[in-house]
Amino acid sequence: MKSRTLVQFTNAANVNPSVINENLQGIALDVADAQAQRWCYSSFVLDFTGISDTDNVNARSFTITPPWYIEIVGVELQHYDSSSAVCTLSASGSGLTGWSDVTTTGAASATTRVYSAANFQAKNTASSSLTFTASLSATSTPAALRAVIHIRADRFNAGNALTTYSPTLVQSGATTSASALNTEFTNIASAVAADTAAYRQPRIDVICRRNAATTPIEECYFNDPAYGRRIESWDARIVATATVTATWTYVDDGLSTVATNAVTGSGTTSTAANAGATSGLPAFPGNAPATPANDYSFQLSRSGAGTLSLTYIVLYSC
Amino acid sequence: MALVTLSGAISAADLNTNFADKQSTINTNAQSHAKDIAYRLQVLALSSATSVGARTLDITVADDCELRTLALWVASPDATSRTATATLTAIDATEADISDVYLLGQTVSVSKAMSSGTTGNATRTDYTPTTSTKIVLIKGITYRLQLSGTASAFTACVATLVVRQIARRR
Repeated sequence: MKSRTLVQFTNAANVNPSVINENLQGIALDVADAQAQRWCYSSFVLDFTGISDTDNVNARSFTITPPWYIEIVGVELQHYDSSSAVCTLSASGSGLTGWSDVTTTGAASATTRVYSAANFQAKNTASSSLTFTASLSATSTPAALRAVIHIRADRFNAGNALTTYSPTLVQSGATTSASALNTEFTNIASAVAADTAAYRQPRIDVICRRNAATTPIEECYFNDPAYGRRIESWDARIVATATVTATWTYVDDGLSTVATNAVTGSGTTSTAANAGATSGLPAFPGNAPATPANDYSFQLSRSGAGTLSLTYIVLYSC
Repeated sequence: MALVTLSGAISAADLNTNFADKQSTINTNAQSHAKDIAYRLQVLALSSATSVGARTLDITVADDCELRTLALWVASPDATSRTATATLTAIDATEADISDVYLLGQTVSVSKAMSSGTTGNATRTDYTPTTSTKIVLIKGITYRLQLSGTASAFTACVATLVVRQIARRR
């Protein structure tokens, strides 16, 4: 889509009001088109691979707290299981409405995919925690179990006012004052400025690690290729005994620490702790992918003896 | 550019400036606002024996997206030669490969061979240069990101598919 071609005025010619109106209406349509592209579609992956039916519920759950209003428009559940257990993906949260559970039934073959896709429009209010839980109906340790959650978010709902523009047309046969035209241009500028301010394209990433035994190890290194985004905040969570601390470190292309997020188990494996959001993370370098040498990475280290069932970070990007 | 405050006799040039100014901003916004979406697939101990499900991620994009990058990071435990490959294909409901139609027969993959050292190594196939093949992932079509390995197991592999929602571009 490209903006409309405006009429070019030339000197030494009388300006026809209808031509000015044509341009005002053209700009108004361009602004409306730009602002109509308010919905940003994105997805995140929840990797449940490694869980079993006997795991504590928190080890089978992911909790996210999107700082913006989101709508869940679809879910894909992929299940490879040597048992025929039924897997149910549920979601709960005080700000969540419209969710429907998604289920799959194991194929009794670790190499056969069972796939279920659902489309709906579940809504979650801003800053309201949302917990996704996978449950298995019978004895089972799936060879793989992943859910892809498709969301959309309104970029004008990320803290930016939606200022629209409706032209006041120049009257034919009347003398148009400069001030009237100035008002029109000012109103156009306000609407365009609103479009500029609503740069945010909300996205969520979930990176997890189960049963990390020792660190530092390469198994706890998550390469993060350079691509256009800005991480605005991130949460770290853990399901572990109280003696275990998981520290997530964001490392730049020079291997310098950009930010850390450490979280300690709460004494049992039944509680997830939230390390809270850390703001002020830098924009990811560049708008276009760079070379591997420019990659950042997330690195996990653990301290303390004990059981670390699950730790994960949730990135909130715009 | 900036708006010209009109007064008295209005010049054609000033009118043109004011109309062009904001239209230019709208176009600039559309491009600068477009951001990338990443799908990661991490597999520990990837080898030719790794179960298919553990190394497969199927994604049905919710809106049309342009393919930006397919990246791969690998780490190996020793100097034994081994290769990891990340591949993107299109599949139908029966998991049959329909890449001929929905990837126009293009092979979308990236490989990394390691024969020494144990530290991580990254590589990628970049589709953003103007001279590269342009590939669009179509809304409603399922795409399969899959890792495959050779006999000797890696310590860990991370494949990252980076796409960009097209609707936000003009």
